[in-house]
Amino acid sequence: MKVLACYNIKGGVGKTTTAVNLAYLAAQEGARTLVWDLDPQAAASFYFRIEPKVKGGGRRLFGGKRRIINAIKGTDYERLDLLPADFSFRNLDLQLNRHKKPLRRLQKILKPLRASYDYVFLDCAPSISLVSENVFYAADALLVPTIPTTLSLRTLRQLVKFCAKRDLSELVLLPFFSMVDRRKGLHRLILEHPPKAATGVLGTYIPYASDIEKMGLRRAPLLAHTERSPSALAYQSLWHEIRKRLEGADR
Amino acid sequence: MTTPTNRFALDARLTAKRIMARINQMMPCAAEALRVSESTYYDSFDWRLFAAGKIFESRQVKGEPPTLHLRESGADDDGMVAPAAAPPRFAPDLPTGALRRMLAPLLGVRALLPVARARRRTTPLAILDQNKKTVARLLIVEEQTLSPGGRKRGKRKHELIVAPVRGYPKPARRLRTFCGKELGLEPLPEDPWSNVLADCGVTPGGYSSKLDLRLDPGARADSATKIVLWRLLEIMQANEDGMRRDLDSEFVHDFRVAVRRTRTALSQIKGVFPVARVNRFRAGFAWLQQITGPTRDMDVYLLKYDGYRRSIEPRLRPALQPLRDFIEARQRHEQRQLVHHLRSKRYQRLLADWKDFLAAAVPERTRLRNATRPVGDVADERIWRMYRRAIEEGSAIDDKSPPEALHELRKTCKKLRYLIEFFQCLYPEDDTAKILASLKRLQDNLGDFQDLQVQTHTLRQFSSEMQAAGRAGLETVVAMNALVETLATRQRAAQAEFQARFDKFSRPAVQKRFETLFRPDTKAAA
Ligand SMILES: Nc1ncnc2c1ncn2[C@@H]1O[C@H](COP(=O)(O)OP(=O)(O)OP(=O)(O)O)[C@@H](O)[C@H]1O
Ligand SMILES: [Mg+2]
Repeated sequence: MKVLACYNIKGGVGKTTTAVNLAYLAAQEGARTLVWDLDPQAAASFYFRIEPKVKGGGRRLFGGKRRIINAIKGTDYERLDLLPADFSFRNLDLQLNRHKKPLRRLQKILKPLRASYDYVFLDCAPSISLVSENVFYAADALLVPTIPTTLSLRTLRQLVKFCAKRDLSELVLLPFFSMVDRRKGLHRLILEHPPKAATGVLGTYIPYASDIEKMGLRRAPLLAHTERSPSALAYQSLWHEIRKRLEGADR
Repeated sequence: MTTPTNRFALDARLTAKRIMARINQMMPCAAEALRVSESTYYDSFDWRLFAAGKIFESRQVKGEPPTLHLRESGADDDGMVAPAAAPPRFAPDLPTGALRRMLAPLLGVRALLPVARARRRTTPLAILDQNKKTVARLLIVEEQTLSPGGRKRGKRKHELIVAPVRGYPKPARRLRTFCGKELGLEPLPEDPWSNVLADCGVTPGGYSSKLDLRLDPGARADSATKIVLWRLLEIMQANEDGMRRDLDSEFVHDFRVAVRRTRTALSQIKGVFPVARVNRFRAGFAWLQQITGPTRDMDVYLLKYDGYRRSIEPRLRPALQPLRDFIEARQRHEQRQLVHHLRSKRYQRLLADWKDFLAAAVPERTRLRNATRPVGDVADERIWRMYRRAIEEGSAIDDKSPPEALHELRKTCKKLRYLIEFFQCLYPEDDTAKILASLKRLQDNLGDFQDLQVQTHTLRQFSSEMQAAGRAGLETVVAMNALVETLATRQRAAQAEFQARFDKFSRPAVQKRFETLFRPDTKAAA
């Protein structure tokens, strides 16, 4: 089982969109896949038309009282399941702090899923908190959608530094450019002449596209409706590149 | 609580349209696209996956890439998936991944063989909630069983299947009530394969190389022996076709074990059949053992090859390849010879005569010493005597004994094991299991010792043959010498360990166990 977290300190950069579409692709390829919607705003649950509700809320889920497998819902797509968000997730830091090893709580409760899934995608809320640190320990890789602006790259550098300071050498950081608008000079400049802060950014980028934006109307992964549009192709090649990188990291 | 069934036999007159109309009155639903698929069920000849509670199939859904699926039997999910069309014959050739990791140790050296096929046309009806999210599906299925070769078997069937979506138990429950109570449909077996396998006339778990006999201790020894021999004949016959077609190496192996057991029964259960007939059959089975030997030997070298390769220094490994090619060619040759023998009149006649002999009723009166005695007594006697012989032979062995002494002991131990296995059902299961386990530890050591000796000898011979035929360059010779050296070292290690293993086997506690179980005078006194 590989745990992939879509994470960025910044909001509105394409984390949820990425989690939903890449998870869909993984399942299509035959992998048993789970999306865990950790964001109390519940965007991922919304895309799959699933009620953002977990019986007993975060407290029971993280308390170990409720086996997390029982909270999982099947999506409309083969092999693709979702662990819905719950409004109580806004207090997750408090829930986690009750436990003995608060940093490793998420990692621990994911363990029983190992036999059931090949991939788990964590869709995280923006910010840096105890929850995100849990995510760093639980994940094999962080997928970091990054808008190609100077400020976003600064945030990315902060993240890299943060991970370097902690004992997180096993964690693979996979930043990629997201919501790329080639009409914008700055986006073009950064793409064509990547600054030092952009080292390690994946080769594939996700363009700013109206069909991605419209996913909210359809309430379904983009790839479930279009396989051939430029944005669909971009997600396919992003997934391909990520898988290659993960295989490389395994060796 | 029994899990309620999700599968129902459907009356062909109930069309998708009519079912949908009925469901629409209870909850919103939508038809999804028709799925046309063909699946093939695979297992090893001896049902290793079935025995492990696993179901393995290849599936081709029209318009989608082909996949392989491995799941727990009874689970309603797809289990592990791997992208591939037909699976390869052997597990190590599967695509890397979780599925292979799970399958390979279960299958071992056995081939995956197609058992049955099913062609299905599925119309899914999605049950929707207020967000138009699918919360369950009702599958209308039309199914045709096919033989592995693609011939139609049995009638076309119509089924209605409730496919729950994880986390939404209620709508699935509602659908089950609908199918069972409201439509009044007959429930079907939970596993989609059980009807298909039945159509093909196969029973999962139908073959095992275990004897698994039931004997009556008071029965006449001659009839009981015939039961044992009949079972061994069944095993030979079951393996004959796979052996002929060389599907995997276990067919010859199981066949040969059955032959060897037959020979042991003929030679060691004395005084139950007329000597002249026994001698004729003994000669016949010795011949069978001999004609199957070379193929088995080459199979063993092929199975061991990877281990051989790993046992030498990495830099020498590539040079070992000609050895593999040589063994492969030799294996093909020996296999052809074997097939030739199996087609011979001699073989046909031997098996036919043997069958006649076993099928014939035992004579009411006979002068044969053991024929009419209770089999329990005869078994005690024969096993006890063989045990004594093993102890005598083993005790006489020391550091200076020639290898032949160990070989002799190995043969005796084999006979002892076979005798115990023939009559196992006459004794308490726990006791024989313990005895066989302690015997096995000794046998493993003796087996290693002899096998390694034979291998070093044979590999040296291969090396000179290969050189003579110009098929081994200097590097190959060096690599093979290095290999022979590691085998010789292991052989010495096996020899050094013999004493300790034998001491364990001959210790008083084990002896006591043998005595209470088998020793005739002890038992008579008790
Ligand atoms: N490549 C894109 N092109 C156009 N619109 C996009 C693209 N990616 C995301 N969007 C839109 O931008 C908004 C934010 O995207 P998304 O929800 O994926 O980001 P997020 O990082 O998960 O946000 P949050 O931090 O709020 O969870 C959404 O309305 C989404 O439809
Ligand atoms: Mg989000």
